[in-house]
Amino acid sequence: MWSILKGEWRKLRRCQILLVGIVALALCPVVQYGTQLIVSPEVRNPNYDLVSLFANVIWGNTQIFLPISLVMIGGWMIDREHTDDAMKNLLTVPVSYPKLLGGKLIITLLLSLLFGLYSVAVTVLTGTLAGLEGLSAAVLLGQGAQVVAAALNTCLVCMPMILIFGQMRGAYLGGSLLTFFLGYCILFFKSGFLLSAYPFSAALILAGFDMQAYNGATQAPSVLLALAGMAAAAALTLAILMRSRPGSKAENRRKIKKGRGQRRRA
Amino acid sequence: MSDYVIETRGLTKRFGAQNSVSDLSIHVRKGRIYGLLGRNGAGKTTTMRMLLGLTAPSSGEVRIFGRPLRGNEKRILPRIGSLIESPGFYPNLTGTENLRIFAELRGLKDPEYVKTALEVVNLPYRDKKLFSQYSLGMKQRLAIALAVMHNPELLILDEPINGLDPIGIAEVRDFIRALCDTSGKTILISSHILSEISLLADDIGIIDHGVLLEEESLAELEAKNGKYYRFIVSSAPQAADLLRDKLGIRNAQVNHTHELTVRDARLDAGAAVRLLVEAGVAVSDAHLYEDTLEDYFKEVTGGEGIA
Repeated sequence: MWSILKGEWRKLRRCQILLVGIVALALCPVVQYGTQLIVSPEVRNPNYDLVSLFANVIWGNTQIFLPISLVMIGGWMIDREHTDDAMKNLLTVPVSYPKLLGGKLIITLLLSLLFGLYSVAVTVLTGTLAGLEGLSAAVLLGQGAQVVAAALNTCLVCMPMILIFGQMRGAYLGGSLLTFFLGYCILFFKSGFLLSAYPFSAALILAGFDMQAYNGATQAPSVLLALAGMAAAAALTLAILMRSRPGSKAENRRKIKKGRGQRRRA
Repeated sequence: MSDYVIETRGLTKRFGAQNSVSDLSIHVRKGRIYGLLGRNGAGKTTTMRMLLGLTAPSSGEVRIFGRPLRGNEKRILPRIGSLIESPGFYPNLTGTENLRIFAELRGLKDPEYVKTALEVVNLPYRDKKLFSQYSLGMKQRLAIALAVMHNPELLILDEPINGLDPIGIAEVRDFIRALCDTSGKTILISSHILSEISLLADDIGIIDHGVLLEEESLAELEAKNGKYYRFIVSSAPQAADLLRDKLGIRNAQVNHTHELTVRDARLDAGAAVRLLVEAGVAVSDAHLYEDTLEDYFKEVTGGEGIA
C-alpha cells in the first residue's frame, strides 16, 4: 500500500488541477469577508473579527469550496488512469483495483489536510490585511484546528462521490457540481434528524463547529447522530470500494460500435 | 507440466452479438518468439488483453507457465512484461518519473532498474522532458522500457514497432531478438506488418476475424511456400506446347504472349531452355521464384494482402 501511496503522490507533480483547490480555498475568506462588507449596515456584524472570519471560512469550505475541489481532484485522479491509458500498466503489475482506489482516497484525504492548513494561512492573511482584530495563539490553534478537522471530515463525506463519479468516464466535473449542491443543502437543515445526521452537517458538528450560533439551528445537534451520519458515509465508501472493478463498459461499447462499422463496410 | 509458456484453449471474446475472438487456441513455446499476425481489427489486441487478464474471456481458458491465469494473476503477472496498444503514461511526468512509479509498485527499489531500462531503449535517464512532450517513437520506447524493466521471463508486445522510425524499428527488432537468443526470454509479439513478423518470429500464428487460421514455425511455413519457374520467351503458347509434349509438363501456364509460368520445382530448367532454343523459341529470361509470405497470407485469409 505504501508504494501505491508514494506513486499516487508522485503522480500529482505539476498537476494544474490542484490549482482548483488552491484558488478555491484562497477565495473562501476573501468572498466571506467581502460578503460582510456588502451587506446592508443593519445586518452587518459590528463585532466582526478574525474568529467570525474563521467561522465563515469553516462554513464556506464545507458548504461550497471543499466539496467542489475535492470531488473534482479525487475524481480526476481516478479518471486520469483511463484518460492517460495507464490503468493497463497498473493492472498488469498487478495492483489490486480497490487498493488503488483506496490509495487515491487516502491521498485526497492528505490533500484535504494540506488544504485545511493552507486555508488557515489564507484566512489569517486575509484577516490581517483587512485589519480584523482577535488574532492570538489560542484563536489560531483553536480555530485552525477546527478548519483542518472540518476539511478532513468534509473529505470523508465526499469520498462516495469521488468514487462514483471518478469511475464514470469524464463525469468528475458533474460530480463536483452535484456535491456542491449537496454541500449547499446544509443551509436548509436547521432542526431535526438531518441537522445532525446529514453527512455535511455532521462533518461540521464533529469538527466542533457551533451550528446554533452560525446556522441559526433551532436545537442543539446530536453528536451521536452526527457520528452515525459520518459512519454511513464511511460505510458507503467502503461498500463502493469493495464492489469496484476496473470497468470495461466503455471499451465494450467502443468495440461494438467499431464492429458494426466494419460490418457495414463489408 | 505443459511445454508451452502460453496456451489458450477455445478462447472466445464476444462484444455484444459480435465475436471479436473465436475459439482461439495458441501455443507459445519457451524461449521462442511467437508472431501473431493479422490485419487491423483481426483480434490480436483483444487476445493479448485476455492473456494479461485485462479483458475477461467470454469462454475458454488461458494457461501461462502451465497454470490457469484466472486465480493465479498475482503469481503469473509479475513474471510478464507487456506493451498493449498505445503507450499509457502520465503526461505531467518525465520518462524517469513514470518508470519510477511502476518500479516502486513492482518492488524494485534500486534506481538502477529504471536507469538500465531507459538505457536499453536509448532514452536518457533523468531527462527533464515530460511524457507529453515525447514523440510517438519516444513514447513507444518508454513503453518497451517499462515492459523489460523488471527482467520478466515472458514478454507480450502488441505492435511494438508502431511509431518508430526505420532505425528505431531495426534497433527494437535486434533488441527483441537478443532478448530471446541471449536471455532465453519467451516473446509473443503481434503485428499487422508481415515483413516484421517474418524477420523476427520463430513461430507464427495467423489470425483473421478473430479466428486462428494457421499456427506453425516460420521454417514450416516457408517450406510450404510454392516455388515456380517463369520464362520470358518469344512465344509462350508454343513453349507451353513444347514443354507438355516433350517434357511432360502439364501445368505450364501462359500468362501472356511472352510469359510462361511452370509450377513444378522438379523441372530441369536447363533441359527446358535447351529444348525451347533448339525448337526455335527464343528464351530471354528463366528464373525460379518462391511465393512470399504475403502470398501465403492472402491464400489462408482468402482475400486481401497485408501491409
